[in-house]
Amino acid sequence: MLPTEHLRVHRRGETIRPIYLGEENSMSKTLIAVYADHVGRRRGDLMEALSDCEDLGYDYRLVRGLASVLESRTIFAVGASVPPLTARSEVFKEAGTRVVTTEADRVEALKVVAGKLGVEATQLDASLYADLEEEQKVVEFKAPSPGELNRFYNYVQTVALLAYSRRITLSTEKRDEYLASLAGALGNVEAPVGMGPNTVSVSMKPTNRISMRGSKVDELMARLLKVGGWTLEAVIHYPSNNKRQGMLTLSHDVHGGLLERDPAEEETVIEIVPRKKRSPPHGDIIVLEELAARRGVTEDRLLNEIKEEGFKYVDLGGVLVISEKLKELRDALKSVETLGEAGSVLRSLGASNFMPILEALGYTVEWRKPRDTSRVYRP
Amino acid sequence: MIILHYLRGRVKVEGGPIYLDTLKPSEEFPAYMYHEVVRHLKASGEEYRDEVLRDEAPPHIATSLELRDYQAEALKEWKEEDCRGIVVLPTGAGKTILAVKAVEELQCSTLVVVPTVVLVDQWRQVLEDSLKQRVGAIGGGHDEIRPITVATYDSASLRGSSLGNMFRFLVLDEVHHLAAPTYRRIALRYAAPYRLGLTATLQSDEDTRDMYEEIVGPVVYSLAPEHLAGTHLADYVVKTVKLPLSPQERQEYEHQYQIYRGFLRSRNIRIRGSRDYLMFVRRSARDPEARRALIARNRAMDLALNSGSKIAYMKSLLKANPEEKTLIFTSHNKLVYRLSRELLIPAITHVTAREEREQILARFRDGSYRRIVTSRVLDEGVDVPDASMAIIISGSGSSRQFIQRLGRILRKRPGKQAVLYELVSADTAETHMSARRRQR
Repeated sequence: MLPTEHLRVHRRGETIRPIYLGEENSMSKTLIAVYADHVGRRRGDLMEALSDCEDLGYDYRLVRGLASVLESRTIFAVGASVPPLTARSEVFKEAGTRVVTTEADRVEALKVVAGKLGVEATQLDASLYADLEEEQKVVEFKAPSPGELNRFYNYVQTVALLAYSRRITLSTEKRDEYLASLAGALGNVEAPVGMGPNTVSVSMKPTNRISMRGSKVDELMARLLKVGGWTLEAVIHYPSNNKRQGMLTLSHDVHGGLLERDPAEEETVIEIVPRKKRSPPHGDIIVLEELAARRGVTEDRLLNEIKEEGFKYVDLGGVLVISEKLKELRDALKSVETLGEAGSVLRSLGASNFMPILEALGYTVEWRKPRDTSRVYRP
Repeated sequence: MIILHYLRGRVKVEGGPIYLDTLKPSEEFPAYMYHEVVRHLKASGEEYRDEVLRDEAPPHIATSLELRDYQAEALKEWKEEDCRGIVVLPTGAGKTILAVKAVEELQCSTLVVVPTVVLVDQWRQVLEDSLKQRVGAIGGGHDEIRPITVATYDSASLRGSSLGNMFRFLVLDEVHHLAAPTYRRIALRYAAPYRLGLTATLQSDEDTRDMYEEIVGPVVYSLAPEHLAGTHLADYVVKTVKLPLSPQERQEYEHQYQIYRGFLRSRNIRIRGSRDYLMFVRRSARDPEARRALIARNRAMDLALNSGSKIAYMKSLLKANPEEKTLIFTSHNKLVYRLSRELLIPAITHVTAREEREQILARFRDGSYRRIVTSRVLDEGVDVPDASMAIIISGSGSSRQFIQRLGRILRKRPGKQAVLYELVSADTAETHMSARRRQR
């Protein structure tokens, strides 16, 4: 989501809307060129160039907003001949024995270490802090056209502003169930009175995690743009400390051409349906006496049934536990000192009747009042 | 009969309201007022049952620690204030030992709250060595509660509701962190009647002091580094070196600073303190002219704080003192990495991974490294091995930061003469910053 501090909005009376970019915008062209020119160069250089762009008289929020769109189309990589941590450790150790104040001292120290590591001194030098963000290399940039960039920017602005909605009402030409379900993820969905069946209204669930809400709004908007023939009305409370709410109204006819979701943002999701793991029908922990009484069978008969089911339990003497679960129980009980703690630990691991399990694991209890403060001793 | 309970950071009074001196009658109080509620009930002679604290006393504690005279005096003063209060001692003066001795005096469940995960491990080590028993830890992957436990401010704050009545004694290391509202909740929501705050510097404004007095206790003892220099701390000198900007730097500085000053004049804005400055920064988000002025000011300050003559002077200091263990402090990470790369000095910043930081400090301790360049992360919260020289290339106007940085070189060693060089660009705004940070 576009960082909120880079959001540019226009407010007039009761209405609020993002400041959109039209087709012509020289800043977009400039920024695309800046990114393209920096392929193969340091990220730090790119940051400096962007900072210079802010001095060109443009609103810094516009520059940073456009840059955040372009950032998602850029691939950065760490380029180091020697792992940076190793490079630093070796170089500083070498330099620790001398005082480096001139370039000649420096080169001499680097040469000694480079010789040991079997690389060139220049490679070692370049590796020293290659893991810092500003030292990363721009390896690829998928340049959009200026028009595309503007539309992508308008879209992220809209999403960022809608993340501050109190209520969103969407109307589409045709009823779209998927759109309704995406709206449902944001809050309580209602069918507004007097509106057609293709209208959905959602009252947003309160949240203090705006970026999380932003990604849900992003999904909603992406779907809305695909559905076509849409209108959107939102009651916006932005910024959160502002007393006034604003109304945002958008429609397919007027704004559809201005908004586009960057395809680079759409992740390819390959759904792999995991094979459902068969779980033991009686659970990972079985207290034989309790289960036998509940089912009205003898313990021997129950044991035979369990064996036939084919699950491997460890028999602790009246208590059967799946081996992975047993390890989990033992680990969890390591730091326990009182009965109260043991109870809550075991209950959190699914053992509702925990005393037989504790005893089966060999723990002894020194009873105290209140009961929860009783000391528990390891076997 | 009145019954006192603890519930999520509050002390509930069952069986009728309590009339505390200056407050309205109430059946519920913030947990930090627990000791006052008990004192009131005792004084009034009313029958009551106290179910607030659910703690477990540690096994008997008997340490062999000997306190220095000033530590003993601080402990005495603190006990006279009903074991509530703040002790202000310079770094290296033995605040930890004082706290250990206080635990021994009280022989009760104790929670030590510290600012960083690194400090959790350091305190735990000291406590286990001195008290000869296992000490619990919460935070940074630890979750082990014992009668004596160390927790980070973050964990202690997040788990205030559940831990709030499990300790009788609360030790707040670097207590000045309570100025942050989130951390203040610790002091407010814990019922511990005994409290000890430790710091090297405490905010001096009256409101903040009043707040500390109410929720932790008064400042019971305070000692500045100069009182211990030569006896319990290393002898030290602070040398402020004023260095001129180069002609090009001066020209650029004046140009940029003029833009800033011109803007303030044109809008009739006066910057009298941090609040005014914050307003100006906020304004820069919506006013392009203000933003230009802010950028110009930052550029001017960059020039003044990181001038070429400072770097050259620092190099000459390193060359003249090759054997001294030296810490170099700057305000900017960018400069930290520039110096690290140019002079091949290990660097520690907020992005340095814990393992790497520990390796650097260990090598500094054993003498394999003689210099470390750092930004603000070593100001506090990390046990920096003994250094004898510090060079402040740039810093804020905060006297707390200055004292903490000074404290890094004050650990006593026979014959040690610690030196702190404060490099200041002459005739720039930095001279005011330097004057401010040295005011106490």
